Amino acid sequence: MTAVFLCVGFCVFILLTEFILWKRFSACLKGIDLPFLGNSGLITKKRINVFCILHTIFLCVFICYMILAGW
Amino acid sequence: MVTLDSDIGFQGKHDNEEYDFHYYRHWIKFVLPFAIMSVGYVVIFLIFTAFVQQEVEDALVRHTFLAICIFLTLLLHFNFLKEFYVRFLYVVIVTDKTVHRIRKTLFFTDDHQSIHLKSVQDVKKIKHGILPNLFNYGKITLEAQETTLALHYVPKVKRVHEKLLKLQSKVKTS
Repeated sequence: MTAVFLCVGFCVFILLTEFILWKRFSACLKGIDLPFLGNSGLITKKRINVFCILHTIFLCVFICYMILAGW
Repeated sequence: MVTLDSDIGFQGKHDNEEYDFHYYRHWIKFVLPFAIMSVGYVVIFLIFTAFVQQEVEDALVRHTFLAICIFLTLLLHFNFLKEFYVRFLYVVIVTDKTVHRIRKTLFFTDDHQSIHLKSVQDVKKIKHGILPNLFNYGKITLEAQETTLALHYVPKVKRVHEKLLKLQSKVKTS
């Protein structure tokens, strides 16, 4: 049971930190005012968001695996 | 190197200048954090798996080891994410009169350095080493009387250098 609580706690922590970093990134981008992350090209804002979501999911799964296996 | 409409607006643009092109640092700058993260994940995973298979009886040892592994994983992850975001917050914008270098980090830095092409005395291109020649990146320094603007990890450095020289001569003759 403790391991499950730890998993939930760490997942919430990771999600919050990711959200704060992403929010700061968006604010900084707005400050530059350059529409470089448009709808064309390899790197777009949408793809960055998808990458960050996938990265967050991977990290949560990895941390949960570690806690459940090692507790 | 990207070119957009000349009437595009950006932070610190003067009214009488026209946008020419802009670029981000070369992707090689991003390879190191990515490599550190990837290798770090694999190493932690292997060590952790080996430790779990030992089936250590002492709970304190087990929990301490787990805490260290989690801490290192989170550190690797957030360091990589920071580098990932910062990559898009360092941009050099060249207009017909000025070179702007905007450098930001998520929390601590918000720099904007500009240099007028009219005041630039020398534009140097530096491309030393195997990697810069292999992947076509380098350093450009714009030297004025009292200030120098160094641009690191410039992609397609030869083209950018030529463009800057062309713009500089255009500004000086006008």
